Amino acid sequence: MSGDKGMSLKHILKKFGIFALFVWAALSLTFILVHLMPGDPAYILATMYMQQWDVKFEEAYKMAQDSLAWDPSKPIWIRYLEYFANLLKGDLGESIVYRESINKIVAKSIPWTIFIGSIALFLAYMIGIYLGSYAAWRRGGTSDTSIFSLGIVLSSFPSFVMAVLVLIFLGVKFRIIPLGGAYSEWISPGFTFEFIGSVLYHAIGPVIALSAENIAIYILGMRNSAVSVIQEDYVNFAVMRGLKNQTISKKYVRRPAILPLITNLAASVGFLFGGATLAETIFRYPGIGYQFGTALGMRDYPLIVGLFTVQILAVLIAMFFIELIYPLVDPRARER
Amino acid sequence: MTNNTGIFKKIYMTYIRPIMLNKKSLLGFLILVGFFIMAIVGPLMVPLSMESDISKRFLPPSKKHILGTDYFGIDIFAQIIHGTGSVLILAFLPSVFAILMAVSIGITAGYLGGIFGRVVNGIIDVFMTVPSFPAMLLMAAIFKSVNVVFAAFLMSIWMWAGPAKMIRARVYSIRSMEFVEAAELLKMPKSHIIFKEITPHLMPYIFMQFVNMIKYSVGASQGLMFLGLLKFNPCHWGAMLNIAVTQTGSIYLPFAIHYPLSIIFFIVLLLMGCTLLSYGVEEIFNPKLRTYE
Repeated sequence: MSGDKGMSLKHILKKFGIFALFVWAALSLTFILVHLMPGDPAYILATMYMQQWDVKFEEAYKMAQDSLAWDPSKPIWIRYLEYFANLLKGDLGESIVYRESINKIVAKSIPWTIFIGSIALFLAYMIGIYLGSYAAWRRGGTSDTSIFSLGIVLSSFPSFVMAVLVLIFLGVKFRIIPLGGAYSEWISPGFTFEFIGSVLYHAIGPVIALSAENIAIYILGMRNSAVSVIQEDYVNFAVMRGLKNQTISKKYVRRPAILPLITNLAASVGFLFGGATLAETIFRYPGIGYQFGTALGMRDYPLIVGLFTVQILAVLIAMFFIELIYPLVDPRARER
Repeated sequence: MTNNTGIFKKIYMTYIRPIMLNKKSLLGFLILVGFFIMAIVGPLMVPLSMESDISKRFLPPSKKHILGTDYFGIDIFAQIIHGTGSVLILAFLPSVFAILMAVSIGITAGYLGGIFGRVVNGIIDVFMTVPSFPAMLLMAAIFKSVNVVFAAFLMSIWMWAGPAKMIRARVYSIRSMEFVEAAELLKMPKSHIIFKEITPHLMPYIFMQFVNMIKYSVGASQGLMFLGLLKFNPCHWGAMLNIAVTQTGSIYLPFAIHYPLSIIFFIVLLLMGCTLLSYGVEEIFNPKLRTYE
């Protein structure tokens, strides 16, 4: 594969250039929405401070202005340059509530989200592809109908509904899973059997909550994709050649049908962050979604913007890698 | 008048009749109609008093309180009925805004082409990379004093891009078909080509995207309400679930689970109606997916 166009340096650099352009554009879009739209974060913060500390509005408003990450009296383009200069230095700013560097909060919380998020996505992907292609192959039969119905039912259980249901039944009623947190507090973190066991045990609930809707997306997506592939001429031809059903369903149908789902993975990462915000908040699981949820509740604007920046970067990084890998999976993308 | 009935007949034949004939879409459609009736007629039949009465806290379901009472001793069923309207408004209004944006931007980008078309396409791509639900949360946190219309607009900003991209691709392929080229050779005005030649072929497609959007905004608005970022109706199901789960901790009390469960039942039923309608409609307009040939 040495002369392969898919992995040449020029190709990688070009993809990286597009990636950088998208990072700039997406972050600028966020900046514009936060700073140029006619909302006043300082005003909202001030009303909160008024209730919290029982002070006069003027005083609260001044406090709010001081605690915002940006100075509203500065011209917008200076704030814009400052935002990007700090980002290039790798500095996301400081949280109002915790008085702690946002980099530290992200470093603490993102491993948890990557942990449960990747398990949930992997499960959803495997189950979805298997059941979806199975249903497509037996189109119109009972197994198709039941798998399709399962997909419809699961896709009506968004992460927060699933999280509440899992907590009520598995947590409170049958006491199978813990009610929240990432590990039992009395166990000290470390490479011990006990700690790893506790971490896995606490991950069950959030993983179920996050994967349910994704399983549905992949079941239904894979079924639709495989149904289209089955109607291609070359599949008919394979049937006429008398190939084994198993060979056709695995090599002729499943493999090409997976391709559209691979490009969909980057969108799944973004979707996962949305679901994690709700599911982690309900399970008090200390990932980035939980931090985002609390930051939103307390109107900690620097933290909200910082965490949102991280989420955008994560989606774009996922997209960058998928675009790099894709030509290796799909020969047609290599030739172009 | 005859022209009018013609249009109605055409709409009936192209949209309503296929929905009635497909099992999935018919069931989904009936569920949605049921919710509309519940939103309009329900509040007239079931009175709601929001006065709290602690002595009636967490009463189990009974004849007087069909779904029991909540933490404040208020009837849950009455609250759900009175919240249906705002749930439906927050499902449809963002979708209407978003489909208008998606159609106008998608057609412009697909038909005009050139540098302008490419720039618009780039903007669509950028919007698509931003995770939509977190973006809605961020914006709802900045604009707190929102009314329904403004909230719907905030949501629609993060919903139009994906459908716009698909509509653009569709227009792009229709543009090179013979009948469009013929119209161009005849020097028909651009507005005629866009609205009379291209758009009719897009309608089923647009309808499909619209149904998908409704499903998305049902879920998203419940999430926004659940996190307490939109506040204009305490009976909205997301807001009710917020009170049940976060504020009163009813999910940890075994004798109070009828409270969160009855809210979840209605959320899931509505979502299921939307999903059924969406997949049914997709089957109708994409014959390749049909189960029976």
